[in-house]
Amino acid sequence: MGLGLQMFVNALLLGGLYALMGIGFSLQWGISGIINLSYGAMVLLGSYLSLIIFNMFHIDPFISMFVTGAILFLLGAFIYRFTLQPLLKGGIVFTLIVTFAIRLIIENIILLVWSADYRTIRVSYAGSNFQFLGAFVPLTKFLTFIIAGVIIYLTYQFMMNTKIGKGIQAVALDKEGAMAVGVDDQKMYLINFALGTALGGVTGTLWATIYSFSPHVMDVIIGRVFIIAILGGLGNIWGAAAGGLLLAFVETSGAIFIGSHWQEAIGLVIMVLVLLLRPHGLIGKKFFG
Amino acid sequence: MKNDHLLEINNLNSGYGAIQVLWDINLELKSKEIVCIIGANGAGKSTLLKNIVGMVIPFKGEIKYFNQNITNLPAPERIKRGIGFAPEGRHLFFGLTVEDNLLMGAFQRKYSKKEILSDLDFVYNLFKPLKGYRKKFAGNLSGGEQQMCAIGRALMSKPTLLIIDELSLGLAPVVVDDLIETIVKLRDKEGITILIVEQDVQVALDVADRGYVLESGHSVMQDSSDKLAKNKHIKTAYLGIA
Ligand SMILES: Nc1ncnc2c1ncn2[C@@H]1O[C@H](COP(=O)(O)OP(=O)(O)O)[C@@H](O)[C@H]1O
Ligand SMILES: [Mg+2]
Repeated sequence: MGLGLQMFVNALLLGGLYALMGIGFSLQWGISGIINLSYGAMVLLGSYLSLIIFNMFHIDPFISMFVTGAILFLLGAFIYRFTLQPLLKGGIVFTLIVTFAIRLIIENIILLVWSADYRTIRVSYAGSNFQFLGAFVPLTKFLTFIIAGVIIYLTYQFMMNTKIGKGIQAVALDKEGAMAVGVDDQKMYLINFALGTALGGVTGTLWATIYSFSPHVMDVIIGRVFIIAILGGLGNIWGAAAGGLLLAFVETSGAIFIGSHWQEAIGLVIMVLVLLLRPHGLIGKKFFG
Repeated sequence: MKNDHLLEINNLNSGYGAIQVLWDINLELKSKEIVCIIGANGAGKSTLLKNIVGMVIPFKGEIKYFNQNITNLPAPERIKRGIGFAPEGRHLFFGLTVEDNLLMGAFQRKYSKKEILSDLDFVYNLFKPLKGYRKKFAGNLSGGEQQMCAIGRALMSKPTLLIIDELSLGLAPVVVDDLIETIVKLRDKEGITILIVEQDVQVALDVADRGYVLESGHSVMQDSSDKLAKNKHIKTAYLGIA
């Protein structure tokens, strides 16, 4: 029982980050139509940017996440406007090539500035923890979970209750219909893509308070977000959140019952199963309509 | 050039990338007219409408609205200025309710709660069946109801000029009669100018004051509906009367 509860708590805490990370990627793919192979690099940029801010100004990542989110939003907007939008007519293959190229560029910048070594951000309260019904809960993990939950909720509210959010919904549901009512489709794709990038960057910042990171992590991230997005149904916020939690539970329990070297394979097996049984993802609805 | 035209198209050439679809189109609309564009499938009718709405930008030529050049104006700006569009195939937001679809039609407007409620009421009064289906998903409506919803959505932008692509396509004759009645009412009571594309030439000439005939991207004829209905070419090619 004690082990079961601890496993549940561990999975939940990891799942919050997976959910947040998966939503950014899923929105970009499902709504802007871009399979962003540079997503892992963008998440890591969030980690490294908060590392600089921490080392130079001693600003806590839980505060600098607003800055990294804003920077990544602008970077996403810039990348969409100047590399992806002009090439959209070239189809999906072009977006794959472009985003892969961006990934390589970011990877090389990171290698140049920070080398391939593993880095960590150790906040003063990194060792703090508390007990919850007998389970052990590290404070930083708890904070990342709560913040991830709040950001996911705000993202959903943004999509449902703001004018731009409604415009994004409209282009996601029916592009021609959206244009017919005067929605600027390219503007919506841009904002949605930039938002996805920002969510990735913030995930990277939160991540950095818990785990060490290096450029290698990029590929791990891409593997995870593919699974999460497909589990949840593309472009679906709650779906991606559910996908993130499910993947975290499967990985955490799989690591205990089957062995940690099977972790990656288990995630893929679950993804294939969902694709076979529920081709539109766990929630089974396009977008959140 | 000052005149009483609401819309004026001069020498329009347009298409998609390297493919030219429209050649030297001229068209004008006076305020409060109902005008139809007829022509076979693939003649370029939808492309012409998309040029007016701003979803396609022409290669050459000029579009004037209220005597202002809007040829290169982005679509959202045109809709803000009073061009409402119900596209071919309706393109409703199936994942949203009827009411949310209608509200989406007001995307380019700034409105108060009171205004929007009275505008919704206006649409529900015009299209009675929609009222009962307010909370129903648009994807669950019948074809006729979907068309009502699409026209209602276009009306929610408070258009001066309402453009409807394929009014009757796939609809039962009784439904079409109702729609025609509504359209005439919109012109007579609300003073809305209406441009429709219609493949059923009988329907088109019934509802419109004037018509343009589009053949393979060229405007080959324009006249009052009465005269078009009596025209020999129209009779044989479009009305199936020998
Ligand atoms: N998005 C597009 N890209 C390329 N060609 C198109 C596109 N839309 C329409 N066309 C072509 O333009 C021509 C006119 O089409 P359209 O304007 O839809 O005709 P209509 O509405 O009269 O049936 C057709 O030959 C059609 O294949
Ligand atoms: Mg057409």
